[in-house]
Amino acid sequence: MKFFAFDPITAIALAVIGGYLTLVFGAESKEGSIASVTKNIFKAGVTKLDESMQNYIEEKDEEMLEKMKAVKRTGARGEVKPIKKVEKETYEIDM
Amino acid sequence: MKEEGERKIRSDKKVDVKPTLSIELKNSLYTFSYLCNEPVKDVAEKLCLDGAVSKVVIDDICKWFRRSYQYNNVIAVGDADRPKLKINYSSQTSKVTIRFKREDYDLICNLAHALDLTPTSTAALLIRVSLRNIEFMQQYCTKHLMDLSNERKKKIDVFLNELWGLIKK
Repeated sequence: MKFFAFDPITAIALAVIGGYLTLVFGAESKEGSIASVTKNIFKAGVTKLDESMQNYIEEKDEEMLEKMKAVKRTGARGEVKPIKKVEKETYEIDM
Repeated sequence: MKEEGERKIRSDKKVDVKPTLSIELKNSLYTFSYLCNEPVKDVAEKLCLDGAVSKVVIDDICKWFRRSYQYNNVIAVGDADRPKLKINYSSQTSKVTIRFKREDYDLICNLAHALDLTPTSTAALLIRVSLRNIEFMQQYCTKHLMDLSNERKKKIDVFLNELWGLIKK
């Protein structure tokens, strides 16, 4: 089987290279071309992803902070635990 | 060879132990023996022997064991790294005489070995710890003093409570 006098592998390779060149160089030169639109969509996607990541990190941060506060609050109900006085072993006895 | 005229030594000869006690402790022991209607040496002997195999007393003194001590199929583990127990006497001291049977003396010697003290000091320590131990004295009274009259038992109760500081003199 032949595609424009090329065998299938060569045809696919040429299509891939052609597509890549169109995306890279076509976006620079022509506003509104398919490549440019794709690039803008890609850029917007990345920006959105970045934003959502940032939000996620901030949310997690707040969540962790809340958790820390909760631990502090629940720990001994905010009261300072009295330290148990350990009796020192004495090796003397008064008769 | 035995020389002629030399007396034969009894096979069950008792061993004299004369522990040094503070005057206050000796007074307490004398008062207690008076209330029990028994000689001091008998009361002191009983306190020592019962104390040497009493769980409550051994629990009290096992913190000073430098070697292991076995009693009633129980082993109290000692630690050679512990410092030796130092017995402090008040300015006025006095001695009491106790006469132990050979096997009882061996028991005291075993305890003395565990405490790294002399048998005499161990006897003194046993009297001191036993008399001050509420649980032990309750067991002692139940074991030895049930034949006494109620009035005498009450007096002993008052005396022991005073000794333990539960009632102010």
